Amino acid sequence: MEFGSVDEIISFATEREKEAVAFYTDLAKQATMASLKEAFEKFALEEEKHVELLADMGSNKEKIDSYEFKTIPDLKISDYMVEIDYKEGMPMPQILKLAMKREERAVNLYTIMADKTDNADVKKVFNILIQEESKHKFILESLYDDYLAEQEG
Amino acid sequence: MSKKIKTPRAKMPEQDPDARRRNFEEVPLGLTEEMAMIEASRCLQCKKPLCVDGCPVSVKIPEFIKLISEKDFSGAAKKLWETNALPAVCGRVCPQEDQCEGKCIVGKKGEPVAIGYLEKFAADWERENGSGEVPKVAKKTGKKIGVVGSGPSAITVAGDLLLKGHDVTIFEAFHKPGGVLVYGIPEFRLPKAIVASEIAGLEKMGANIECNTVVGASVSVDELFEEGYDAVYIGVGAGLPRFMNLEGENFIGIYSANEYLTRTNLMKGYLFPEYDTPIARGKNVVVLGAGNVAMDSARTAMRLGADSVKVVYRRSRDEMPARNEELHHAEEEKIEFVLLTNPTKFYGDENGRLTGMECLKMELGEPDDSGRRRPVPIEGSEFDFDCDLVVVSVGSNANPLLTSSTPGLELNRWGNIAADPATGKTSRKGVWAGGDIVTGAATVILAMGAGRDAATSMHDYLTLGW
Repeated sequence: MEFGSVDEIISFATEREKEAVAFYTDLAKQATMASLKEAFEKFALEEEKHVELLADMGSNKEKIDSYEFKTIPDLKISDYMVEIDYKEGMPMPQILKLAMKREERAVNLYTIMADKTDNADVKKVFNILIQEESKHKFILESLYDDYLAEQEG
Repeated sequence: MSKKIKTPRAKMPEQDPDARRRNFEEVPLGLTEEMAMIEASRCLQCKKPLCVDGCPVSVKIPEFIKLISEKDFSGAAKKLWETNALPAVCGRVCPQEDQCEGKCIVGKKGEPVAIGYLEKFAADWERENGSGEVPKVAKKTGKKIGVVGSGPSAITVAGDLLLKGHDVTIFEAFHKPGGVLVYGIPEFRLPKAIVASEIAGLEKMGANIECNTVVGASVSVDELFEEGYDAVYIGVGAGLPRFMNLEGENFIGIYSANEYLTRTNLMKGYLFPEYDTPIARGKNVVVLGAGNVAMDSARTAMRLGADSVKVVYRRSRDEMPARNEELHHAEEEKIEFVLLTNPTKFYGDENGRLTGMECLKMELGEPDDSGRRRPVPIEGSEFDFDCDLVVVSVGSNANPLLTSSTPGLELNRWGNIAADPATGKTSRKGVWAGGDIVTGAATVILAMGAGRDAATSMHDYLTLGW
């Protein structure tokens, strides 16, 4: 996958993030349990924030320059898990695994793309996306980690 | 007062670690009458006993201890029964250090009164020497209660409602009642004869127990109401095993703790071939997790003949959730703790049998906003273990069998039943729930506390309305 400009990346990433919004929104619609519906809606909202962030960058390139990079801890919980498919009635811990894996795949995809390009601007946009997806992965893995800590008895 | 505090806390006589690590007999041997009376004399008989506040079922602690100090052991047992249907169980498995003993005033300046040891002593004494009489039940009310499950919370509900004169039927999915007390906690920690005796007491009080009945499959909650039940209590525990979704987790030789312990305890696999239950007897065993269930699994594996048993846990010693007593016993029995280590994948041979596993060393990261230091992998620290048996003990989920077949029963996001924490009332009229199916895996005594609260609320409903 080759990208010639920042706009092309933003356009590609926006489509990907919109797909994630649609994925979680669809799960929210399917969910029969109120609590699960709420969780999926929250995930969809998080992905929606990425779409907004990308739109903001597309219209205002200064946003890219002023973006602040931080070290996001990587608990690597999902990294060693095998892929699972969504099934209606799946318990929340399984759903978290599913969501963590999606975020991990997104981090990996953007990391590969960042490595492939020599264009500094393009690389920076990918690095922003890596950071954003890493934040999501960390939030989800922390939720799972807390759940494990509470339930290990 | 100072003399009482200076008397050292009783030391529980125990089986020698080298001997007990190869047998399934109970580890603590119990206090003698003399030891119990000396220990009871250490109690300050506080006017406002904090120990009672620390007990989820408000056992009348100073009162039963006073009776022991006066050598009225039967009276002490009966005093316990006033608030606790399972004193012999609680004396063995409650985390007293975090509850009653954690609040004991004697413990502020020295070691707390050994309330758990004394509870075990009184209940055992009565079982071995008492008349076998059970508490008197009130005049029959004609109300029918269905109790689903027969673990600690269900037994408490059943006992409390029987006392108030209601008819109680307990529905148990397995062939024996007792729930986690019989399928989960091993013989060496809780002899099954004790559970059987407590259940027999309930039957003497009038409980009807229907085993091999899976509510949610054999009969639904709605059908129970159609059959004339006035109220239903759901106390089915959290018995759905959880796995880690790692590569190779389906190899032969990898058990959930749930299956491993059920085969060994409920189905008496440790007595094979006397009991026809196959159970894998690994030589190099790894247990994943560090809670009480993990310790039970590790100590069971040692008793089943393992040469080496390792407990692999991704956090540090301070975070191990098992009781200190269980950790201490495990270490005495030569269980090795491999800390700050996380499994990443399993290896198997051409026949699909487990041969080993890969792990990763962890370190505790910087504290996050909540102050928690989470385990973070150390880059490039992968290493391998040889093992022929792995027991995954990282908690369990709520089984959806009953909840998914009960319309209108609201669940929380983890799939547990949403119930009022003060009363156990669910979103369904006439249905209560408590114990692990509501809270997720917790302690026996917390489940009993939930059962006590629910029984009070159910009695109010049966006499006053919803």
